[in-house]
Amino acid sequence: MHIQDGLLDVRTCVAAGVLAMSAVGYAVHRVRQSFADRAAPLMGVAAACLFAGQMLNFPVPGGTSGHLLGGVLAAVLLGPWAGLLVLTVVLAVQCVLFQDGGVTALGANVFNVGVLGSLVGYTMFASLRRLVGDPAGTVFGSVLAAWFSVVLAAVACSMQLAIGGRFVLGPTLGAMLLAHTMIGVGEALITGMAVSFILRARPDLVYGRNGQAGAVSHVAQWVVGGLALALVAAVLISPFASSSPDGLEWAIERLGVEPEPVEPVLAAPMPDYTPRGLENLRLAGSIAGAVGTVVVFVAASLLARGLGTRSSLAHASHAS
Amino acid sequence: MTTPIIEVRGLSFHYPDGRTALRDVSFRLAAGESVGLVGPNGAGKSTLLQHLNGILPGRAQYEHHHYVGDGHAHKHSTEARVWVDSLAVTGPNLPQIRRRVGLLFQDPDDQLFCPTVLEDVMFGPRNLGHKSVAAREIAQRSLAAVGLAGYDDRLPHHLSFGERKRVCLAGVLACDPMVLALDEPTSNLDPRGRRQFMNILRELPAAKIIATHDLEMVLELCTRVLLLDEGRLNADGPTRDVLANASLMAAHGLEVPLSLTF
Amino acid sequence: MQVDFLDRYSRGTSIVHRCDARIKLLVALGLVAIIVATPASWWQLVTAEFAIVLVAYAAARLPWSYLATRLASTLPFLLLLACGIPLSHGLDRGWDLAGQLLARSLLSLAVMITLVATTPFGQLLSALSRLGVPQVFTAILAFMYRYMFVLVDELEKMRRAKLSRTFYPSLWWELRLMANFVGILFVRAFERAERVYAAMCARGWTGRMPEQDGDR
Repeated sequence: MHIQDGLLDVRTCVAAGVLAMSAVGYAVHRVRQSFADRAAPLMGVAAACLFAGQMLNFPVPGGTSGHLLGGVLAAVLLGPWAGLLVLTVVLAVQCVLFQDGGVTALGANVFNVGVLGSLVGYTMFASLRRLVGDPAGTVFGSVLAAWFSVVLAAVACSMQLAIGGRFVLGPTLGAMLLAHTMIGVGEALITGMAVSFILRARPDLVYGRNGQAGAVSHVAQWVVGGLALALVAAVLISPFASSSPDGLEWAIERLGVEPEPVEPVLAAPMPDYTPRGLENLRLAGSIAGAVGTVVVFVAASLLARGLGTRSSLAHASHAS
Repeated sequence: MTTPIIEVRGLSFHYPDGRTALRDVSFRLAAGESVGLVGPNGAGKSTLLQHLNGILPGRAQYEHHHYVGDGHAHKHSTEARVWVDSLAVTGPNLPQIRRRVGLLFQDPDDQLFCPTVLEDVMFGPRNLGHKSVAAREIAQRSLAAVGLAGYDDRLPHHLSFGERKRVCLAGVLACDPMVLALDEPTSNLDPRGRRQFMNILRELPAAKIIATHDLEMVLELCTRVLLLDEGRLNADGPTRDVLANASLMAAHGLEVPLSLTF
Repeated sequence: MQVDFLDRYSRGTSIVHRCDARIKLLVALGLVAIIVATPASWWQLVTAEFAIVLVAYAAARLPWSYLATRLASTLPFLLLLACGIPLSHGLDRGWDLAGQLLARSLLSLAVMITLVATTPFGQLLSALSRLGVPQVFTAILAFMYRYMFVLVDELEKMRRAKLSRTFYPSLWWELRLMANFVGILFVRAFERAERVYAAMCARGWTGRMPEQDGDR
């Protein structure tokens, strides 16, 4: 999901860049505060870790393969701001050294993977952890947050691609959702199992376990919760609305961020059969989203119950 | 003994999970002396060395890790138990301590953390306040002293294990310490690498305390031996006396070095 | 990790190699921005951009096969994306946009490849910090660069060990193993970070590097 140069127009790049830079700037400030002189080695090694982890591929039904993003994992271990910083570093290195992702699109990529993955993902994780209670809550929260962050990133990416002028939102969203709900399941499962492993081996590595710096402000939780619900509603429900334009497209039109008119230079190689196919794509995407949510919820509960309990058993026997 | 350069008195330490690492360890090191620190795995050798430059007892957060043991969180006392050059190894003195004690860790990848060799060797001098030009000179001299002149721009992950160990040694030497604490310096080195390393060590004027399983090296380089087992210092005496004592060695999971059996 | 391609050519002596890293970085970024922003209709500027990029690459005296291989590795993904445009429009429009996208991406990639192939990473970092990037950030980058090869190798060792003992692979099994690898990797990485931090403190680290006085 690394956007390359040329996919987004200047306006989108700049807007995303400004958003991303402010978030990252603030993250640098917070990290300096919480980690002081340990920041550089810890974050650097964590970034190297994420980089290595992203090389792991798992097959996804449909023929593609997904790889771990690690946004929520980073946030669970290091906290939201450090997670954002680490992800930014990884994305920057991938972009510059490996040409994986465009330099002008770095802002958008950082926003999708870092801001949404780490910040929003952490908020979701922390709230769920508090709701369910340690240690099951840690596993449960990380699984759900991981899935959600991947799906959110896919949605954000689609929106950027659409606003950036070249893509039509509906089918793009559908296709991205279709792929990423499944990739998200892989990410969620791996994140959950990895977190549970770390809970057993080095529970002190999980951020904010003793209530030290882990509290997320209520406002943030409400904001994120509200956003999440709104997004879910818009994405899942809107295609079922009949002939009126897609909710998001409607929003885009109203906001006046009209994409540039497309001037066909080449004659259409194929006649008009595709709109139907595209409609189905949108529907398929939404259905995938809905199904995915349920699946991940179930998986999260199972994992949390199974592995979370094992971890607490281990604790009990250690302490006796 | 005139003022010892290192003095340890009654040092005890518990790991975060409650296990005891060091029990009431006391010894002294004179300037220029070479001491071997031997013992089975898990004896606490590395832990002891890390007390010499204040890395341990470490951060308070470690106290609250989950633990086995007698159920108490172990709060380490802030009383000084180690003195370097008459300076107590506690909080405010640490920068001074670290100028005097150079610690060479076991895994070179933990110590070689800069993008190039020269930058890494310059790290110490730069932190000590030298300007770049002076730091560069010091670094290049240290690299030459370990036989790695010209390796300035090499990348750490392209070097062989032995070369990386020598770069780490150069990095420590560049800080010009009075005491060298070495953790398993010859482990995993091939015979030539080992011989090179030992030759370098032999020429160094600093006091040395070497934690190692390489008893033949201890025989060659050290005048005194400390035997550590389960955190307790079981012997402190001239090298031959300790290492040739078969029953003592056997009791602590060690063997008398081959050259002493003839 | 087979990444010697990152440093294979970075110590050359061409005029591009010898240029100050800050200038190279700013020029490269500026060039990419211009490439992305240029409307397709301004064909003179587009041609000029093509020319500049090719001339710069030639001046760096890097092998063309290198550029070709690096670009070819990104091509499948780019093609997929590019086809997405006309697909989302129903296959009747958007082909020209797809072509533009391909051209812009490839050109920008060529610029970045030229930059990276002629500048050792250390110089890039010091250029960044002299351009005002916060020191924390460049320090993190330096550590990441140092340890990413080490960690990828660790992962590779784990993978090989797993392969030697896996006989009936299944998806669930693969996922579990992958999760274990990730968990182990993180725990080991964090413990290594602790040791590195200890090693840094042992040589006087206080959190800030002393002022660099214009070296490099």
